Amino acid sequence: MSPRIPHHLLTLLCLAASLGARGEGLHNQIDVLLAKDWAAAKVRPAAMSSDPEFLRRLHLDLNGVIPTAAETRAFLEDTHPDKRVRLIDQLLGRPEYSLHMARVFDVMLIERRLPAVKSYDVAVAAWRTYLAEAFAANKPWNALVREVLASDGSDELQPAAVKFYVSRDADPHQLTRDVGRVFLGADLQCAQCHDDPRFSDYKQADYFGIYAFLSRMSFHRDAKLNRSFISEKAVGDVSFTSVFTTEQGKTNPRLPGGEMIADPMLEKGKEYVSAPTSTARGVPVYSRRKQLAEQMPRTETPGFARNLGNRLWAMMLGRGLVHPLDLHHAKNPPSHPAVLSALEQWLVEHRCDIKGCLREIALSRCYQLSSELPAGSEPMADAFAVAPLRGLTPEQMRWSLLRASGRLDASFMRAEEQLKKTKPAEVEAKLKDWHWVKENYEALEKATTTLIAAFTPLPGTDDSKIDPVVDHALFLLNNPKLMDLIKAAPGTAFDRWSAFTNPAAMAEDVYLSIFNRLPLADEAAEVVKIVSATKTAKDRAEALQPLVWGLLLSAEFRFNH
Amino acid sequence: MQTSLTRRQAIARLAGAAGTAAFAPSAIATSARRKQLLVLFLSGGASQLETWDPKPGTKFGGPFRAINTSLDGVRIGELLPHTAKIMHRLAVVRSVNSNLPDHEKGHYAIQAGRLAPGYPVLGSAVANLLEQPGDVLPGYITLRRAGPKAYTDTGDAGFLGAKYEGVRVIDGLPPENLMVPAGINAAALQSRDAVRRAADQRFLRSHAKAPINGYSTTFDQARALMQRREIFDLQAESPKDIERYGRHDFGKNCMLARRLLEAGVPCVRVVHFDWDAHQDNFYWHQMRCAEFDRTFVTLLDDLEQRGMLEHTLVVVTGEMGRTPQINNLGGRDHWGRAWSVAMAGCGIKQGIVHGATNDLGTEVKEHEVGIGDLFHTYLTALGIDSSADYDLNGQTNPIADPAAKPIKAVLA
Amino acid sequence: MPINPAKTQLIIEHKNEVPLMSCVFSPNGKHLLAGGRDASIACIDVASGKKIALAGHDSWISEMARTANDLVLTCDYVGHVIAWDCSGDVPKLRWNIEAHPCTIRALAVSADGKSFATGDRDGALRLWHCTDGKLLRELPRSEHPLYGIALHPDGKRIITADRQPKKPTIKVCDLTSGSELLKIEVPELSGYRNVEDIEWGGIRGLTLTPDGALIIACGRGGYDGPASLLLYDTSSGKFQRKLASTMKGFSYTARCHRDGFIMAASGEIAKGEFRAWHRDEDKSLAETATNGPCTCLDIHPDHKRFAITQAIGKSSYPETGVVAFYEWEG
Repeated sequence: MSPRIPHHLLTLLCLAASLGARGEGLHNQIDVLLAKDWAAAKVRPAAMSSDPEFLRRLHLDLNGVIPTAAETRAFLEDTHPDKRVRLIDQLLGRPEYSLHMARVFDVMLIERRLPAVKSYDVAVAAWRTYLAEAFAANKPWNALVREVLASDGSDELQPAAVKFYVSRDADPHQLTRDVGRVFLGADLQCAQCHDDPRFSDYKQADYFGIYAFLSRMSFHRDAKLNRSFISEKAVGDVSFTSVFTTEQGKTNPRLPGGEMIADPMLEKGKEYVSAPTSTARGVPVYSRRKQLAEQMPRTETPGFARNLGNRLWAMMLGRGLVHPLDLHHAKNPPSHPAVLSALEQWLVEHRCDIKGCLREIALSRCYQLSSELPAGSEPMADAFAVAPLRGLTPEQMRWSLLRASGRLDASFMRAEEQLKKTKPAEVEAKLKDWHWVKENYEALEKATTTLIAAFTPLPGTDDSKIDPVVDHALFLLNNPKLMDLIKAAPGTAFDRWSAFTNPAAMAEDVYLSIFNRLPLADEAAEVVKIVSATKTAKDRAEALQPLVWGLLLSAEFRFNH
Repeated sequence: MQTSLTRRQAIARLAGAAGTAAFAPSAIATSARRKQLLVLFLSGGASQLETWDPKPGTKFGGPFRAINTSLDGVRIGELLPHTAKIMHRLAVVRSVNSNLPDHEKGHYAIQAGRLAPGYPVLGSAVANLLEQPGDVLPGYITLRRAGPKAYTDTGDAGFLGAKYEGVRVIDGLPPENLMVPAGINAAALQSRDAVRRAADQRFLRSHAKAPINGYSTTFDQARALMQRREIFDLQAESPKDIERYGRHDFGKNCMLARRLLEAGVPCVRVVHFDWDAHQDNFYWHQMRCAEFDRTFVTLLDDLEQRGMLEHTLVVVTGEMGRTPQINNLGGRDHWGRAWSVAMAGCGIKQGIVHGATNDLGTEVKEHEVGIGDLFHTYLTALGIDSSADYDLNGQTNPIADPAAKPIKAVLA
Repeated sequence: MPINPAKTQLIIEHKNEVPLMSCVFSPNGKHLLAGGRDASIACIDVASGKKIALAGHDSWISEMARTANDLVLTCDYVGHVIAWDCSGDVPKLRWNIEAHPCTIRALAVSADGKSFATGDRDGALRLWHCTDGKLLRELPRSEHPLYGIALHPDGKRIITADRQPKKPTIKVCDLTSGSELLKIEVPELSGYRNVEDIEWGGIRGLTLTPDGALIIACGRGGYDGPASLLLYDTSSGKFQRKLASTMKGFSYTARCHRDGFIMAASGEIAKGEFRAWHRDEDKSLAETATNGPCTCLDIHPDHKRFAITQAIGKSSYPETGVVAFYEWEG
């Protein structure tokens, strides 16, 4: 790859320039700690990523979609030494950042779960709007979690936050497990029936301590309002018996490692704001569930900040420092404990600033390593010494197919033109407004549900468990919906390519659009060979179709690398 | 980083090398006919007391009686009258202690033969271990009803990678998109595939091989399925045969399973749903057992008549058993400490009951068997040396839990 | 003076070795028979309180009913029906038939006491002679498990209730021809969940008011709903009223008192209640909580007393049972 060597050198220069004085910032700390681990384990890290690798990866990780051909060309031609840092900040500032994070955290928090009666669920659009709003404002993680856990669906401003509960049928056991897994990185499920013999650090009392926060709640469906709520009782104690030892325990709400929280003494008959009946939900004066929302999302809570750090790391690096993400325990230690501690520490000091933490990770050398293997070795996945090949998530796959084929941008172009006609004064502001951008994504989302369906795994799975399977291949080979993307249509990439009369220029545009890099000499030659025999744009389109299709089916497109 | 390689790190390393798994040559015994595996998975957890290990008239025995079987002195639950007549062809283990009263964990651990995450489940493992050069059909196909039962598909191929994932056939429908799109000529398709292959070859030169090869394999499997899509067509079967198997989803799936095994798919799993009887256990087991009983016997008869049982191991298991205690809603809850598994076919002794529970059925009384032991047993019955290691790019990892061992008493 | 249903008094409780699920007074009121999770029937002499066990079944007891002439019928999980002659000091087994090949969950005796009907979990519906247990005829089978039967006092109609997923259904049929006269769907008592594709609810008990005007269907108002009774007009099939408890759970049995009120036995995991309603009012007249799920209730032929059965145990696993006798004051 001829442009690679200069890129490579440029990259190092950029990095040196951007990092400034050594030892500053979390990203530096990460790199120093990892370098130490690599040296100790005699692991040879990969080289720095090329510009195209970095550009594509960063777009996928921060905006959920590959860059356009124009963005790619601009970045490759940019000679500014700080261009990587600038790109990071630019992508973190885009409306697409909030929308992408809303999609990622939707899957992380809900895990594609559905309530037993699907129509009782909180609408995805409302929930994603709620999340996008939070990420647009860079709401601290503890504040976001507090809202989610405190919500009973009645809040006029944020009724969607109740989805975490509703999607799990407000089932206290399921929720106890998922609160532990999702927010603390620990799966206490086996401790439900007994002290987990495998993991001495999980105690049955820990499970029931969390359960006691949640055991008084239940699902309430208001048929008249057509909305789902959480109902809660003012009474109900939790006791448990181990199936192994028949040892009995009784517990009040308690976070793992924390103290039991006593219920306040309330005058008899005054326990409720409104008492539960068969038609009305219960609202207690003292809510144990709200105590959980109050007590758990704090950086002081063991595991809370660490779990966030681990999950953000996994988002950017393809696997957690603790892996699987929800199995933090003594026998499954982090692969790089000091790195995890550094992340945790940083999040504690920076009040759970998600955007800031992602920025630091993106700035690290580790994140910016190439996915090309260092000569003669393939480091272990948990060494983080080479960028992994990560299958695109269903959402990334959808938007990237639409972007590569030009459908996404054609659709935005139309919306923008419409705006210019109807509200010319607002154009600039709207383009930066995530609400407007979201509306336009949503329109396209509805039209492409089949596109994502084939790639979406079952309820209960998150994005970390996605692997290409034969169903995906069959879809990519045979589904008419995919065929629609690689046909000529006004304003699409396919039209643009067919219009090129210079085959070399066409080859460049095709590769910049699909792989976000320039074609190699033999790749360009192949395109030239295919199209040189054609005369009309229609002929060219016909000849191009198998080429474009083949590239979209290739591993280089399918993986975030 | 730790200096010694922990189990977790070994898996991580293997995960990095997914898809190019090769088994150590010693792992396979030579055999003229390839062995095959059929798993009938009773999802939700069937009650051992209403099936293989009845305790009629005892405190937790429930309302049903035990009936005599074709095996002298052995009685099973009266809800399985057809099965009772072929007990002499089965091996039943009544002393399973998996200790995992949980769907999700049980689903994985029973099928992977261990608790540690990241390993392939039985179907994926056997698909890999019995793989032969020139195989085109998927090595493992799993049949089930549609339904939001996420835990049914947990685990799967683990570090072996996408190639050995169970291909899911839902509601008996063949995988979607088996037909070439209309209006595309063969030359264009060839050219498309050539472009993809060339691009992957180029990408492969400098990148991790496993994920790229694994992805590439999914296209080979897709092509093979497209060519053999008639396997999925149950219309080819006579109405009489369809009736014999039963017109419910389990019956149809078992018939499809037989067709897939006949077509040469090495591993097939059929999921029979809804054994999770927390309420009305006795009503519900009558319904479930009635479906299972007749279909199971029909399927075994067919496999036998076609000479397939000689090289096919049939395993009947769920992710757990059910509590001896009966709850207030007439249900039995999750229980992993004393339950039963049945086997038939190749490598298995016929007409044997191994192990026993105590009089109330609450604990294993003799020959306790763990999940690792069962896993070893299945592999051994299939002619696989279960003490061998996977060898992935020079990294070895035991195929089965080294702390467990095959149950000699049930192996032929 | 009519009975005030709010004034009940516990007379005596009898413990039983296993959880109890059903009970009935003998026609002469001398005995109470109760059965549940074993094959023996507990028989209590109402006057002396003496309890004996009646042997004959070889499975759990599911349902019981009394005839007009000395007999109590009991049926079980493996399809047997036994007739007990209760005219003497100790009930004697009159006959024992294999009525069905599977669990009988529905049993009813005709108003004239001459015949009885049984329904099983496969939906089979049969009519029998009381005196000798001979089959009178087989009626058209239901496609779904039968959980309740009532025979109309007019002697012409049979009413059945099933456990059809999503819409448990009541059918009123001509007793002679078996033809369907009315079909009432009762989705309110469905506890169907997609996740398991199982109907967890269904109609768990079926009763007619003594005049035959109303059908009372017992069950649970939704998967997680309150113990409920739904009332329908027998002639038109029109919905009349829902009588919902404040307790979540199932209503298992309803009985009508001659003074016009309805008594229902209901249970939830580890608790229960019995409750009285007037058929024309949503609000109940009286309720009494029980320690365990209240599984069945029967009113003594003198209409001054009644008995309930319960399942008793720690948390959700009952190990023993209770029969409790109550009387109304005044």
